[in-house]
Amino acid sequence: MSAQHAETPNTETEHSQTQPSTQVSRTADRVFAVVVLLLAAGLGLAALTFPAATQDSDPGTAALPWLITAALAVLGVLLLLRPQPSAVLPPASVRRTAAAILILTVVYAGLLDVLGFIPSTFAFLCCASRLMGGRRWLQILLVSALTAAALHLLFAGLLDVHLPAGLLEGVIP
Amino acid sequence: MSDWLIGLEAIADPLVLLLIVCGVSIGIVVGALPGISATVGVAILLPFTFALEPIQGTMLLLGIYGGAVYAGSIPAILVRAPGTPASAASVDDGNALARQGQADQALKVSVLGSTLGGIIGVILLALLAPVLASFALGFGPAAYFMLALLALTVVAAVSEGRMLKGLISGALGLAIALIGLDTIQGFPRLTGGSPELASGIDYIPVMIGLFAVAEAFLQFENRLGISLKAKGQRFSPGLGWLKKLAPSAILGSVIGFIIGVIPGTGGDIGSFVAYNEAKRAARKDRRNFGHGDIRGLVSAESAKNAGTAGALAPTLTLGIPGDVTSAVLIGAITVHGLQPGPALFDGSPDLVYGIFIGFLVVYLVLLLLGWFGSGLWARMIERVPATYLWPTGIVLAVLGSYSLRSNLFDVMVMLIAAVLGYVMIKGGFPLAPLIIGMILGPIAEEGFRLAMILEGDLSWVLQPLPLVLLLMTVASAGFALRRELRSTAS
Amino acid sequence: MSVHHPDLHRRVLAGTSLALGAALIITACSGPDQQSVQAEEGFPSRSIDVVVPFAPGGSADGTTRQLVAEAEEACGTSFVIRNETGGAGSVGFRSALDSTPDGYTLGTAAIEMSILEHFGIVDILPERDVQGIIQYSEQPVAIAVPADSPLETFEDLQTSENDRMTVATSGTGSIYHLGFEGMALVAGLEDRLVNAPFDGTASALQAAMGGQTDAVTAGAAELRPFVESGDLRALAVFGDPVDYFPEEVPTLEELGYDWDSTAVLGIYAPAGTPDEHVEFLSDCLDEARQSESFSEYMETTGLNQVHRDAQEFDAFLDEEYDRYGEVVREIGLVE
Repeated sequence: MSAQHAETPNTETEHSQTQPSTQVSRTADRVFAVVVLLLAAGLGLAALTFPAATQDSDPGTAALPWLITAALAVLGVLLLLRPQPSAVLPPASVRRTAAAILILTVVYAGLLDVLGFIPSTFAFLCCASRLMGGRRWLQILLVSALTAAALHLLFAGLLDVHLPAGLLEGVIP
Repeated sequence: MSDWLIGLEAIADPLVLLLIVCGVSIGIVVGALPGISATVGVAILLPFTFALEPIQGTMLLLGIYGGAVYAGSIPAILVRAPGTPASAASVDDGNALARQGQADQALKVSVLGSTLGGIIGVILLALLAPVLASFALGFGPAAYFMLALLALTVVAAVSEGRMLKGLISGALGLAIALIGLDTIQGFPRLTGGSPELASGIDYIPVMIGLFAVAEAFLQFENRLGISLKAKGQRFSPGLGWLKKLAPSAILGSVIGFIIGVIPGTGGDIGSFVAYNEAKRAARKDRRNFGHGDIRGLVSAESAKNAGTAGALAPTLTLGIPGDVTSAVLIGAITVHGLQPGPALFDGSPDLVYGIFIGFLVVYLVLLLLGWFGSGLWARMIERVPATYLWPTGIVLAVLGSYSLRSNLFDVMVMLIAAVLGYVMIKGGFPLAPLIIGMILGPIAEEGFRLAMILEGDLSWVLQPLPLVLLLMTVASAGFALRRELRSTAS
Repeated sequence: MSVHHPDLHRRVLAGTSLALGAALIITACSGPDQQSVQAEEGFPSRSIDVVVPFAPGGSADGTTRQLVAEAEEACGTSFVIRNETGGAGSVGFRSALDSTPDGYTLGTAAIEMSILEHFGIVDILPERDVQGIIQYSEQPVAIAVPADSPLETFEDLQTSENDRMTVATSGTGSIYHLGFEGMALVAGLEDRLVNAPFDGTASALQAAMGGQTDAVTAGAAELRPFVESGDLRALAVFGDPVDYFPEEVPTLEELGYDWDSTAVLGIYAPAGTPDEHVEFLSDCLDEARQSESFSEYMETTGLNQVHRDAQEFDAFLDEEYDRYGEVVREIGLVE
């Protein structure tokens, strides 16, 4: 498997040949086209509610939104008419990893304010390293704890960033 | 000439030199971290400069400035995660080189380009300072609009071979930039009543998510770790190498400097415009651009650092800041009772010429630190096992977007951008046009509407500066169109 | 190349959903209650957060940092500054106002608190939401023209042959814009002067100096360096020009017009903060304000010190809210 991810339509085709389980079709581009058209429609509808300009010669707050609506609509139709074959869905096992890291990151961001920076970062690093294929638990725990503490020192201590303290409120300076 | 001697005297002070080295080192650290930019480093150390002499404080801040703008490219090259928006143009070529085992060379091209850009920029600044004041003042809304149009044609250059998807990406960026308060009319667009959205979507968390975190997600999928070759090749430069780089570096420096002079645009778009021009100048020999061409890399690198010198022009001659960092710089100078402006050149030549010479020294220090550091950073990244590298990368991205304004909102924006970036990469959409659209959309819209308000009609199109820029835009767009038609025909 | 472990994913997924559930419960229980809070014996017993709604390096940020640094001793606690920027200050205002009103979260006040609601940008009613603590500086809005402009005095604006003059402001809905509109209304200039809303004060000043516009309105402190250097000529100042302009620049009042417009810097707390705490903070911050090093700092940054205590400042923000509401309605910016 190539380390390079799909960068151009060209490498994508090569990419997919080495991976028989990857689904290749023009469906993906058709889906993208529909999404672009829906975006155009949504933006156009929103722009309808924008107020008129308050100064005579000003084209107004809705002018650029209209222009972008038109551009998205034209580009969406073009994509619908000329879809390229592309590989979008990776194999099922890979999909699960992708979903797992995404959920993990979202939960991490959500817990940041509640647990505080150090505990939530420690927990995230442990889970994520495990997900990345790390085996040795002791090493993972140690590295995660040190990284979390070091980052806190760098950002809160040296860069003066206000980080949520959470559980450790009052414990750390 | 004596002014230069006075400036030299002001700089030739061990404390000043020490502060420069400190500043550049701090700058490299803050610049390499995603989301933390020169502005943060400069703002933290600002109170500290009050205790120093004006020249000492200024040199500390300028060291941070130059170092940070350079260092944004280190993670861009090594892990496709630009530390600052100005480095986004270096991602494609720089990271392609790193993946070919040429990380050392790419980092050396970057530091050489940044240094050359900085030095050429400072020389242009010193020679042209008085003229630049009137150039910057003459740059009205109409010219801003036309400049933004010209820069938008860069979208074509960074999405060659997949123009349609590049244009969609750019239009998406323009649409995202619509969100927030419209300052012309005081109307909150697409905000749904949320004060966070009223301030608009900042392009820095978007950039972090789109590039850095989307890349990390892909690495989780592949679990292959860093894609640098285990034994990265050490690189030693030759004369031929320098000869190949020189034209693109000089072109990039001049372009980056000019765009940097215009207040409010900063270096963020200069690097893209320079990249576009270097690619065009390469004519038939541009196949490799975007896949690891050192000329493409050096043009973007020199432009972004030449922009730092350019931004000083309106700062020093008018007291009008070119970007946020120079706004803080003005604060550092005025707190000593000095007022930036033409009077500063007559009243305090030691400070003004000290700044010119000191900024040159900043770039020499940067060259030393960067050149010898390049091998070190590549090896450092290689040594960290992938198991820890990518999780830590995500933590840094979350931290970087959180620290922008101590707010989880930007973290959410970053995460949404990460998912978007992941889907876009999978779907074959180029990412850079989205960022370009986000940066340029507001400049273009405000410029157009203000020009209409000021003139009352479209007559501003025929003013000299806007007209020249318009012709350049038409030429650039026509060139890109012809290129695209030819490539689809063959 | 690693081997896939399906059960590993399942475990991680299960773990994350558990954590997510826990997070939801914890957040649901820990929402700040907006009821008024009992005064605390021995206040303050811990550090106080101060939300600065503007970026580091600006005058709001710099003066707040300096003021609270001086106040550590007088107030007997430390202060933690946090910049929450965006939406012309609305993000930071909202954040401080949504916190528990126990005196431990304060914010840097700006006149935008009394303006933003009129544009539907953020729901802040000073009377309902804001408890003023202290005002420490103010700068009146002023109008200036480029040095080479044919306009010599304020009256020239009314008599000039040019009946469509553009005035650079720092964005529609900003204090410098509303100050300008209020002036235009009372001076009968609303049909001659056109608002050119630039993105911030720096851009507006640049446009005026470059001759892109006929005039500019901005804060007196921000105009002063360019007036002193001769790049701009001040025609009138919309308030008391303490410490900012030479005496020959007339105030609107001297010209016979009833309009004033001032940008302020101060500290506020969310409404509902116990009176004892407000009074305590107002007093100790005032002590810090009068300290020698704070006065020196204000002098070097070119800002004056105009003091209002908690009651005065609170009433001021309420009045300004009403006044600017009238202007916004009169010029037809919102229905």
